[in-house]
Parts: sequence; C-alpha cells; structure tokens
Amino acid sequence: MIQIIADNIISGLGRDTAENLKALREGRSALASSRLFRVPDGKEVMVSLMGLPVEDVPQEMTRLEKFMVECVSKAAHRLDRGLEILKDRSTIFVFSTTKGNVACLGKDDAKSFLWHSSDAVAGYFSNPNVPITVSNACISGVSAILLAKRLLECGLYRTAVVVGADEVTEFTVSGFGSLMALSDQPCRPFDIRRHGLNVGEAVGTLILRRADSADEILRPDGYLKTPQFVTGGAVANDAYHVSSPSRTGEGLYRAIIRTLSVPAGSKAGLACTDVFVCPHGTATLYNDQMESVAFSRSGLGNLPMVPLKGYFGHTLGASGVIETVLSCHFMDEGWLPGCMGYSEPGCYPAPDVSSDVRRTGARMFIKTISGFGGGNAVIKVEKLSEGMFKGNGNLAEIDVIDSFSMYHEGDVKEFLASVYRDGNYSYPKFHKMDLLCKGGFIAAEKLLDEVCDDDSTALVFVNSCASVSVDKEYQQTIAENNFFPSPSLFVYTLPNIVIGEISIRHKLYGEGAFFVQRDSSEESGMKLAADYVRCLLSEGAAARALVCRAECLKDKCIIEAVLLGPKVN
Amino acid sequence: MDILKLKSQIIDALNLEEMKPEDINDDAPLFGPEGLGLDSIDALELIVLLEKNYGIKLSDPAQAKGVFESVNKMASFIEAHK
Repeated sequence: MIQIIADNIISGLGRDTAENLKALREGRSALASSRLFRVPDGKEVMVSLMGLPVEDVPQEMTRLEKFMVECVSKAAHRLDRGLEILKDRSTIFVFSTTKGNVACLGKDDAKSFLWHSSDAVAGYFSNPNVPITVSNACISGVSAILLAKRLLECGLYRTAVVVGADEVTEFTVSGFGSLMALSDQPCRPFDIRRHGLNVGEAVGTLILRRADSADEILRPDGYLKTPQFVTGGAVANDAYHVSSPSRTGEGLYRAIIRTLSVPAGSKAGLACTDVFVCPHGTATLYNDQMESVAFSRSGLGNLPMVPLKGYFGHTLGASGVIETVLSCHFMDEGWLPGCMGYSEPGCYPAPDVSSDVRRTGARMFIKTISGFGGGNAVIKVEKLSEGMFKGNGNLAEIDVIDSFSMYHEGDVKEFLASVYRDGNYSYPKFHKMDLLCKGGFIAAEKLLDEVCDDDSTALVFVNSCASVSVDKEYQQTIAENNFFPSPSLFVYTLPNIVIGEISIRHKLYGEGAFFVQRDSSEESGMKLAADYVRCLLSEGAAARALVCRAECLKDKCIIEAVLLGPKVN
Repeated sequence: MDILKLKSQIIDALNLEEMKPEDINDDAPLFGPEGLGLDSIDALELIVLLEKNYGIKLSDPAQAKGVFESVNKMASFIEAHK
C-alpha cells in the first residue's frame, strides 16, 4: 500500500499547506490583475504569483528551483529523520512540470532544460538516484503521483518525493492568450458565465512511502489523523485532438472507470456521502463541459465536486500535486471549500458544484485532470480501512517484440519528410507537426498497425531536449517589438503532444508518459522507460508499449523505438 | 487585394507544405472535410495572420467563422477593414 506521509504547498496563498488551507477556509483567492505579462489583446491579465523565493540556497539556482528546495525541505521536516530519508538510495525524486525554467530560454539556455531543475533539486538534497521528470502538459502532476505509486508498488523504491512546479512566464501566459483560453476576470469553474482560465504558479510536494503491512504504516506527528493511501489510478488518451478535449469525455471516462475497476459501459456506484471529486475545472468552455459529460457517463455526477482553480488559477505542472495535497486535508478535516467564482450551473449534465463550504465524511476522493495532448489522469486516495493490505505483485518480465531506429545529422526537417515520402504514409497533418512529433509519428508507423483502437497499448517517450527547437521558434513570435504569439507553435512546446498525435492516428486510448532526462540513452532514460513499462504490465494497466527515445533537433535527430510486451517463456 | 499573396501567407502560416497557392480555390470552404481540412488551431493561427500582416484585430472568435469561410471572404474582410 502506498501511503501519503508528508506534503507541502507554496502558492500565492501561503508558503506551507496550513497557510493555504487557512486561506481557503477564509475564502481568499490568490488571483490578481497584473501588467507583468503581455497577452495578445494587450489587456491586463489575471494571474496568481508566489512572490519572492528564499535566499539561503545556492545563488546559481533559478527562482523556481529555490521555491522547489523550500517546498521539499518543509515537507521533509514533517518526518522523523526526513532529510536522511531524502538521501537514501531507496528514495526517488519525481518532478512534474510543463515548462520548468523556460524563463531562462534565450538568456541562460543550459538552465532551461526541464531536467536541469530536477537534477539541481535532487542534488541539493544529496539523493543518489537519477531524478525522473514527467512532462505530460497539464496532467503532469497527477501522472507523476501515479508514476511514483507504481514504482513503489513494484518494489523499485521505498519512498518517492513528488514535486510539481511551474511559474508564470510571458511564454505560457502569451501562449494561452493566443489560444484565446484566458479570462481577464477571476475564473468561474463550471459556471454559466465562465469564459476562460487564469494562469497561476505554485510548487507542491507530496511524499509517498510503501507500507507492506499494517505494522509499517507511519503516523507522523500532527499529520493526517487517519493515514491515507493512493489506491489506484489510470491515464487515458482522448485520441481526438491535441488541444481540444473530446466532446464525449472519452479519455477521462476511460481513466475513471479503469481507476475504479468498473467494466466498460457501466457506471461506478459510489455514494455522495462516501466520496468526493476534485476535478480539473479550468473554467474554459470546453474543458468543464467535457468533464461534466465524463462524470455523468462514469457515474460520478452525483458526487460533491471541489474545483480549486478559483483560488490558485491553473498552476500547470503543480496543479495536480497541490490539488491532491489539499484534497487529502479536506478529507482529513471533513470539509470541502466552496467553488470560488461559481454561482449558476453552466454545464450539462450539471455536476454537484457548490459555492458554499460543505461538510463531508468521505473516506475516498478522486482527483482528475485533463490536458493538451488529449491526456487524462485520475487517481483515488482512501483512508485506512480494514482489509486494505493485499500482497504486492511481482515485477513483470518484458521482451522486445519489434524495434526501429533512425539517425540523421544535417537538415532534420528534410530528412523526416523524405522518410515520410518513402513510407507512402497518407496523413497530411504530418506536415504541421513539429520535428519531435514527426519523429515519433514515423516510429509509430513502423511499429504499430494503422488502426489499433485499444486502450492496452501504452506510449512511453523519453528525451533530453524536450521540445527545445519549437520552444525557440515560439519565443521568436513573442519578441519585444514583434509580438504575435503563434497558437500552433505554443501547443507543440509541450513535448507530450507527440503522444496525442500518435493516439489520434492509431486510435489509442491507453496509458502515456513523457520523461525528460539528462541522459535519455539505453543506460538511463530508456531504462527508466522500460522499467515503467514493467510496472504497467505488472499492474495490468497495459498489455504492450511503444517506448521511444526521440531527440529531434533542427540539425540532429535520434529515434530509437521498441515495441515491448510480456516475456514469453 | 492580392489574392495570390494571401494564399501564400495562409500556406506559410498553416504549414500546408504540399500545397501551392493555385491549389486553393478562391471560393472553396477552408474548414471542414470538403475544404483544406483546417481545425480550431488553424483558425486561431489565421487570426494571428490577419493581425500580423494586415493589422486587423479579430478579438471575437465567433466572428472568425464567417471571415474564414473561403479565401474570397477573407480577402473582402481585409479590404473592408484596412
């Protein structure tokens, strides 16, 4: 069983979890108007900011890294010998971020790599393992918690420190602006007058630990009164569109029923007194409506909902982590905050959202999240109860079913176009993709059937450069005196879009993960990806996986892909 | 209004690599299966095109539907708002 043993949140509402909870109890929001970030229509923009970082950390650390160090320290201090646990070989750091140090791009490029923050922060705490960086766009936070749970459950580590972090930058604000997704007023999740999201920043830390029997449950002083456990979860893709959510809520519906082990086509039979839901609730027209459809289809429509974006805005890679942390405390303390910004139902079928504080006796909550690339992630967290402990499964053995690789130095765009032409693939959208998606697309064409239509094929990607080529291209569109942010380039600055493109092409509704590691080779990044596939196969979350190392720069490209399945004796 | 120029701007902005300006019919729908098969992000990219190349702001996305019906519709909108 995977126990939640410590946490911390830094946001515009406070620098620890207690301060954040107090603000929510008092109905305060961190959202405020700002002129610090330009948007296409030149208006003020509504954001939530963290303020200034601590200074007693190495000065070469970036603002975001300093906040991450502060956040992890505060969580670790909740534990007996916490800092010692962080140093242990059985402890793994899992980071969740969409754009990390993107503020350094063009100024200090070396720091802008997503793995840079992870290495800096895990290194600061003297952790001996290579940290894992999950970059699955908006679903990263919940993906990272689920990944950590799976790694612990399979016995690869004992403790996992999950850190979700993103800051508000002109890069992301202008990008959401170009997609016309921003509201210049505080956002109104699930409300009839909602018309967009607010970007926010935060850092969240959640420490998880495996307890193999009831005797191993930790009870840290002053922490949750009844221990809580991450007991399930799933990731599913919409296979519909890379930036618009499925109208039928397909991926979210599938992720929910897989999390709850409900057979396809049936609904979960959960009582509103026992369970609440912390939805994504960004307050864009399409996201909230999509969620409402998925909740209704999966039988969650009657459960109390706690959308939190009205307090923090959309904190991107941090949102899944901070919203899970807060939900743990709501369940522990027996209350649910009202939905800030909500007054009148604006989705059909209307989920149970309220602007009032409510009491709850829930013993379980479900956290859901959806994002660009068509990804949806769901986890469930439960209070300790009788008969919870079952034996852990063995780690599945895997075999390579098929493999494909290609390398090129020179004009990568032309090279990928020639491979596309030689393959006679008929998919006009190919030409609109960034180099990373093109590389991944070709690997998938080589190794998968044209139409798979299943949710048992996982897509696991790893690289070192994330989407740096297109990051730089996008940044040129937001230059000081030539400010025309490109919506299509912005979408491709999220590396996991490649998973969305392949899911759409091959109709794949299964698990997906994108890791950004300093070393993506077979010895390190690809080994992590293969280990994760073993976890997925052990859990039954996938029957096979396309694993791909995809480094696609303008002048150099490495594609190494394998199709993995269970070992056949 | 230079229609050919507008068409090459569209091809550039939307990465329609395999198309030439003369392949785009002046009155054919840009969106939907019979047209160029453009989607919602393409529509947003066309809004950027209007602002960047012609200085026209289209702040209400609902307006976009009519404006981007065809190349001809786009051209007359640009003429009317220059």
